[in-house]
Amino acid sequence: MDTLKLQKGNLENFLQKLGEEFAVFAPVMSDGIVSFLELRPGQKSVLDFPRTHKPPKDIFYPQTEVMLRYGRDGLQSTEYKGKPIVLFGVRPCDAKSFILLERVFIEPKYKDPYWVARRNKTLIFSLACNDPLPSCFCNWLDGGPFNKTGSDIFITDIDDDYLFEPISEDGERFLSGVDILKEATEKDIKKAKNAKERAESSMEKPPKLDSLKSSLDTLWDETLWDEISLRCLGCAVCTYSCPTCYCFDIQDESRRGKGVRIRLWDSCMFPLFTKEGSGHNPRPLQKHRLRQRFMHKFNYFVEKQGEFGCVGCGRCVSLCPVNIDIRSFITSVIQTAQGRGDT
Amino acid sequence: MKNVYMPMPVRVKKIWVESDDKTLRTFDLEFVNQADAFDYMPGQFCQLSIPGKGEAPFGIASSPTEKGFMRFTVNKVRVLTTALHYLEEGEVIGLRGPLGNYYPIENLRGQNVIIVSGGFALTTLRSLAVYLCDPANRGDYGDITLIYGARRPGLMIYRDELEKWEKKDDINVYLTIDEQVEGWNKLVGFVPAVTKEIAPSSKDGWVMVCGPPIMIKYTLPVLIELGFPPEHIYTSLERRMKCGIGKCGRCNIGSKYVCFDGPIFSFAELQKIPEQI
Repeated sequence: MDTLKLQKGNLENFLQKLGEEFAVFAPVMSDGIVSFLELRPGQKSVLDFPRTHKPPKDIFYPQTEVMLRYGRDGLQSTEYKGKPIVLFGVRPCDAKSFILLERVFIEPKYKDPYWVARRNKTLIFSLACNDPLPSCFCNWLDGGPFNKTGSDIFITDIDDDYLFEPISEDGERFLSGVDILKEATEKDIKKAKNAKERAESSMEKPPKLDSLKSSLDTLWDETLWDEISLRCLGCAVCTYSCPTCYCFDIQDESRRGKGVRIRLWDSCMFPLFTKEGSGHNPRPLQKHRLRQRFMHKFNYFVEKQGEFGCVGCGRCVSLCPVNIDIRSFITSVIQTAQGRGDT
Repeated sequence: MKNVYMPMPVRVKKIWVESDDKTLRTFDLEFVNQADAFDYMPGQFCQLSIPGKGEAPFGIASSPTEKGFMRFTVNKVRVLTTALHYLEEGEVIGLRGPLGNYYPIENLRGQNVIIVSGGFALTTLRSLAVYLCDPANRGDYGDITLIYGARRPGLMIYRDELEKWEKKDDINVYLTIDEQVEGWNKLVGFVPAVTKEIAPSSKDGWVMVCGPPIMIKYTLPVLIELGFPPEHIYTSLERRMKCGIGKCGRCNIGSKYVCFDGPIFSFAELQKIPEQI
């Protein structure tokens, strides 16, 4: 199927139509920031945003979610039963993050029923980044401003129109039934190609990360963990804003014999994360917790899942209150290992 | 799709105090719906939960060869474990399982098995001992030795049963306490020292060790000195857990999740993982 296009003026119309069949989540201006929220009738979506503060992972994996309800009549599970979800206008890094999260949530032995219920029959429209931010580093991690991994339909902004390129079979099936779309001309495709080249060349050349995993194998006791953790406040904004962080807590809340079992995003940056009933804590210092975060993303995840657990969205870089930059950490790891002749 | 977080209802069949300081209680649980009953192996664990109080992992102390109940011994620590201690027979709680891997039963065939334990870590090792000594299985294994220590006799769990085992000839039982008390006519001394004294042969021998970290730390060099290769020494690890199925992300040591890849690890495996045991 060929690439189609939508006139920018028809976007609202298009999204309204989508809303008849799907629960449409799109970038919306709310409380002064752009976030992915469910579009209400008549609400406008903002597609010229650089990057949302919060990653869209909460659409499939809410920050707090009721797992079970209990009362006199026993336990009931509370999986999502709403309309299929459309995620419209996510950036390529975030679209790729779902693939990584699914390695965990749809792992063969135990499938997470809450994730599966929300993710079932979804369509992901990802939106190319014409203007990557200085903190973006998707191109370090096999991604890029026009990377199509994880999308069903890939959107490119070409001034007056949006190009819609079907990527998956689901995406193709969906697009073939939408009459508001027109076929893209050669000129349109050329414009998208130029935008891609411009965006890609605007990003700095990435360092080679081939030796990152093996470098980390040798740096467990290095002082670099002390140095970087001295600054860390343990605020956990890096984990909450991370599209690939998935750790959660499970808590019960009850009142008068009725209640809920809920799960909530949790963070390896907090001391309580690993504190045991006996009082023993295997990660008592911030240095241990930071090491866990970096090791998980660039060593353990690689070992278990075969790729880095980071998509290079740059949120932790731009939101960290003490300017811990994961990119300079990565380069210093590689340099430290090389300096010692380990790799 | 089956919800892996949904506990199955289990009824408290029997409950008793296990230690003289009353911090340990043992429960025999039975499934409310027989269709929920499952097969498990020694070393696996379950999540026990009480709505409103929470959920936590506990090693299965019964053996799969014992039918009609599942046994757990619970140390009273905080909210959930206190609520578990206040349960009465007949009450219904939630159980999810079986979770995690199990002791390397397949590797133990035709071999001598040495079980070393201290304190209330005997739970899943009791499961193993009962499993190996079951008449249907006993012929498949060589000598079975149990070395078990507690601070004092009153803290020794499953004591009546252990004293019965002392009289059996299919398992060698060595019980030890830290310091001599009146009326104690068995061994005295810490588990590592007692293990060194008993000196089980490392020929065709496999050791399953579980106890407080300090006991494991000092027992390990003794076992190495006795000639056991790290590949033949196994332990069961503990970590704070929530999901029990490798998703919530907190119980890892290196790239391994204790709940999913463990809780049973060989020392050969653990030597490759830098994070402290």
